[in-house]
Amino acid sequence: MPAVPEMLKTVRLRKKFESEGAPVRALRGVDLVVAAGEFVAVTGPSGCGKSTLLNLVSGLDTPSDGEVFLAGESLAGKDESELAHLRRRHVGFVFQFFNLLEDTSALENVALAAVIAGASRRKAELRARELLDLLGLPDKAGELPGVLSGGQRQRLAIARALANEPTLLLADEPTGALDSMGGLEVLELFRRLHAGGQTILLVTHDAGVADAAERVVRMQDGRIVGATIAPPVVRAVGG
Amino acid sequence: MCFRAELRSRWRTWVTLAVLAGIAGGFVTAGIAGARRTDTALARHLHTYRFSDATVFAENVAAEGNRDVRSRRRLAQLGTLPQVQASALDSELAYCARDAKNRPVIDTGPQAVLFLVSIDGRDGVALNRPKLLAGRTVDPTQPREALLDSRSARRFGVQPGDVIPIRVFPSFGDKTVGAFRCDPRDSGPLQPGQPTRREVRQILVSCPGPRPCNEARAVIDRLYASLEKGADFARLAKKFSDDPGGRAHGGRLWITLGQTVEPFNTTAFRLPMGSVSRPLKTHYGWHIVQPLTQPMPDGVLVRLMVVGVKATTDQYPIGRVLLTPAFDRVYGFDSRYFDSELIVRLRHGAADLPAFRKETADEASSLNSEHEAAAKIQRSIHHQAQALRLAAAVGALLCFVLLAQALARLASFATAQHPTLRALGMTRRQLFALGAARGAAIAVPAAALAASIAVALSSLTPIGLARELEPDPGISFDSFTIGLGTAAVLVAVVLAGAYAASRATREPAVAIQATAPPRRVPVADALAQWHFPATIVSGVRLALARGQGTTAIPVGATVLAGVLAVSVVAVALTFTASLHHLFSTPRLYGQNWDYRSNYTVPSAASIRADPRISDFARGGFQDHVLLNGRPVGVVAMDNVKGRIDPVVTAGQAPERADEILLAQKTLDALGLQIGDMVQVRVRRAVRMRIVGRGVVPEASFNELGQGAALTWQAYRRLDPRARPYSLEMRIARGADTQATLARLERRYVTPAPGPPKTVADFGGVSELPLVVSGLLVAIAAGVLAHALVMAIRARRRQLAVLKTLGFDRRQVFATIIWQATTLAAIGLLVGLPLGVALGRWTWTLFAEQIGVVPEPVTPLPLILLVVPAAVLLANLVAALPAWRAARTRAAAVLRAE
Repeated sequence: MPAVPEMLKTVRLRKKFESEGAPVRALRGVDLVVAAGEFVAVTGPSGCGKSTLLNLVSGLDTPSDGEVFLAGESLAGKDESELAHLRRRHVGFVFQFFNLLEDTSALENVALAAVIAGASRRKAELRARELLDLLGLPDKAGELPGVLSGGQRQRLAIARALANEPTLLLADEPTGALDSMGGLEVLELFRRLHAGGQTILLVTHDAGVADAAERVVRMQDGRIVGATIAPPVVRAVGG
Repeated sequence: MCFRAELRSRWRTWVTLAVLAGIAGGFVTAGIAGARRTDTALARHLHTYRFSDATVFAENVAAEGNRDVRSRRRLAQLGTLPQVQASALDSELAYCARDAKNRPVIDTGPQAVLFLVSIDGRDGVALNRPKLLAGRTVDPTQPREALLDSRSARRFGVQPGDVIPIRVFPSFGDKTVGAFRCDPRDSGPLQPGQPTRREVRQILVSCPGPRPCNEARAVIDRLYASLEKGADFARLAKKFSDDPGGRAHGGRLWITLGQTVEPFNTTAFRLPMGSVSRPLKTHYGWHIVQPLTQPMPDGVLVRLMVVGVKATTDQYPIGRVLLTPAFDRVYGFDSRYFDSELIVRLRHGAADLPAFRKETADEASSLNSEHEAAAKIQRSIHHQAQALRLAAAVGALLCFVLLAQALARLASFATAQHPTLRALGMTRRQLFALGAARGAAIAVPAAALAASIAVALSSLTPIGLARELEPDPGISFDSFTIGLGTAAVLVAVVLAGAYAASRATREPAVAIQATAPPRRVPVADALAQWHFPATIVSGVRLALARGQGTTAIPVGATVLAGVLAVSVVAVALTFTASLHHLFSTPRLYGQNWDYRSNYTVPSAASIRADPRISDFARGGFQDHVLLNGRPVGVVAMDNVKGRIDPVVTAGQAPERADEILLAQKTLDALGLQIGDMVQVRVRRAVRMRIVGRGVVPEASFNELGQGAALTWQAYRRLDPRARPYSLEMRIARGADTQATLARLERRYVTPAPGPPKTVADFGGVSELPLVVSGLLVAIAAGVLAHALVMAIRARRRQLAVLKTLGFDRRQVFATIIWQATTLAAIGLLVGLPLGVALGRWTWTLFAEQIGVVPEPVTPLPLILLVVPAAVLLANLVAALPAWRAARTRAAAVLRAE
């Protein structure tokens, strides 16, 4: 039986930060697999290494030990430029505090992601409008993010993350800065995207938010300590 | 504790600001101290080198003989008067010399060099001691040693060890005294104005005493017949000549052209070698002449040895050479002196002058106060000191503007934390104290650096004319000015820090997320629309976006810094180009001609026939014409060929006999304008109408910006007995200017003039604008670098997001470079035209102030060069911050909030 492709695989991932005094071991050997089309949530108390995991997975940081495979490609040994190119193709990032360009219009925020990935200006704008429509912000194209509500801003950030049809959508505490209404909006959006086939890896300390996912992985002190919902098990090759 | 935390995190910014403030403060303080040193240099020199208070002149009357012993004795007696502390006796030598360009050097005119022989050996020893710039002073026992001042050393192009050949003469030639146009090495006989001599033999048969002339005639004819038959001239002269001196030596004597009677004079000098003259009659009797030598210049060739060069203490343009008492002993007999002069130093300086003047007043002598002469030199020096002060003031103002906003930015960054700190419980006073402490921490090293730089730079002062005169060259510690400058830096920085802190403490103690909503950056949006690459768009956005809260950047102030720096450079370039244009365009300082002379006027016909002269005017200058009772220097010329007008800046040149043109300052002094009438008087008074305003060339009697011009015809109405004695000429286009000028100089004696004193004064400090602008560019570059670094730090998050979206390092680097380039571009767009306009305006003001025609020049190629230079500089400044931003770990940035 053909295996479901692994969008993300980490093998014995470790990360150690040097700081004043003792070094901090943020990750102590994490093995994680996310199959195509999966919606996985990683939860745990603050400081357990969730954000570090996302940074390593997207190539924004390099592991002290272990390897990351993104869409089948290993990130090991790749230089900045190659990692950046990989990011453009495969990764869409959604942050807790949105990280939108506040002095740029909503349309431009989304289009920029596509332009950076090499799309022509026209195609980028078309795609941006599509996404804004898709995410319920059709009339906000020319607005600055400052006039949008929290929920709308995060939807805009998600639109940006989707601009290049990323293999993997990464979200770092996406509802952390939102009120309950906004949070629900965003979670609903993630479900919809998942239903449409998008692979999502979401990181949160809020168990309620994690429940929106298909599979929840629990982390503590840099290690995976359990999974709450039985995953559609990744079938090994041949199995 | 907060202080230490802030210190740790922001120490680089603090150091940058301290360094910039220190450099700026140092240069400005150095400028002011330098101006002070420049202004006082002359007075200190005169004091240190025991300068004279007055000079008493006794003109050498030819009849008294070369040595003029009587006037020397009389002058020496004056040296024993009670007011006199020390004195020295000199005589001014008549000489013939050539300069480095082989042009004649004379003792008057625009390139005058005085040769003074120290008769009693006290000049330069008892008083007027030389400040040696090279070599040593003269040994009084060596007849050929010479001490030059720097001006004459430059004219002759010599240094210690070189030789200057001169000729000295026992008598003056047939031309005006001093107009010797000779080449000391030329042994050709006939040079205009130079005495010529010849050795001859003569036989004189006197008549009417002791015999009647017909008898004498018979005698001389017999002698002539004998000579024709081959008799020996010397024996005949010994036997028959009535000339007592000649008889002893076989009739031999030296004669000087023009010093014997006609027709003897002409005949004797025309005779070719080997011939004998026919008998010729003078009122002495009948002569026969036989030449023994060819005619030759009547002057002893002296090869002077330059042993030293001293600082110039004479007014522009005079240079001075000092010769020894031994010179007078050896060459005095063969020399001619114009005068004898006694230089005196009085016991109580200028205070004793009136009494001394009274004692020495008589018709045979005149007295010059050296204090008045020194005052004129001081005026020139003062101009240059003022220029330095102006540069320092402008520099201070611009530095303050540039640094104030940098300090404010630092303060705003820090005070952005204030609401948080206030929430934690710090009181207003503690926050204020924190701000003051921050200010002090920057101010103290800044002040120390400023003081060190000011002291180090002091070795570059004084500037211009005063530099040579400075008795204590090298580093000087002007404690007053340096103390003041240091204090000013301290106060300025602390005040700026306190002010910024006080503004922040007045804000409410609530953490405000975003005070002002962010604004669009239309330029960046437009560039995005037009398909510009993402790096350029992001760079422009970074440069121009204001941000908010902790990411706020005072964009306006940074842009202002760029505009200021560029415009200052443009102003400096424009000003300097206009100054150089002034030097090379004599028309601007009133010289609407190529050559002028005061000695003789050629015939109109000969000039009209000369194709090398396109325009020619003749007339005269008069220094004491009364305009409404005020003495003014006047140029009066009539055109003979072509047209030479005075330089007109408004109205028109005078053409009729009742029209006059005035210079600006004269107009102001008289309170008149074009169209008014003015009463003009020399011998007669005539009312004339002012038809124009212009620039009259500077002369000894009027400074630049003063004077008047009218036609020679008009002048004749004022003085009917006047005869034209001056000429002005313009060389035709296409003629060889240098050769024609050389020829004119030879014919008419006066050397071609250079720029007038006022203009030459500013030549001494023409680099000042460029130095100031260089400093400001350096400071602006520092501010720009600082701004870039702060902007990058403030926008770390944004850059990290761009990396997340897929910017690689190269693209982040490019973004920062575009950020810097955007700032440079705005600076250029606004600053260049602004600077050029401002430069032209300030030049016009300056030109009107000194009295020349304002003709600002825009050096287009240089201005255009500023464009790539500014972009390059901005990119260089941005390179390091850009590289560091590119290497920022996005993860680290995004991890923290």
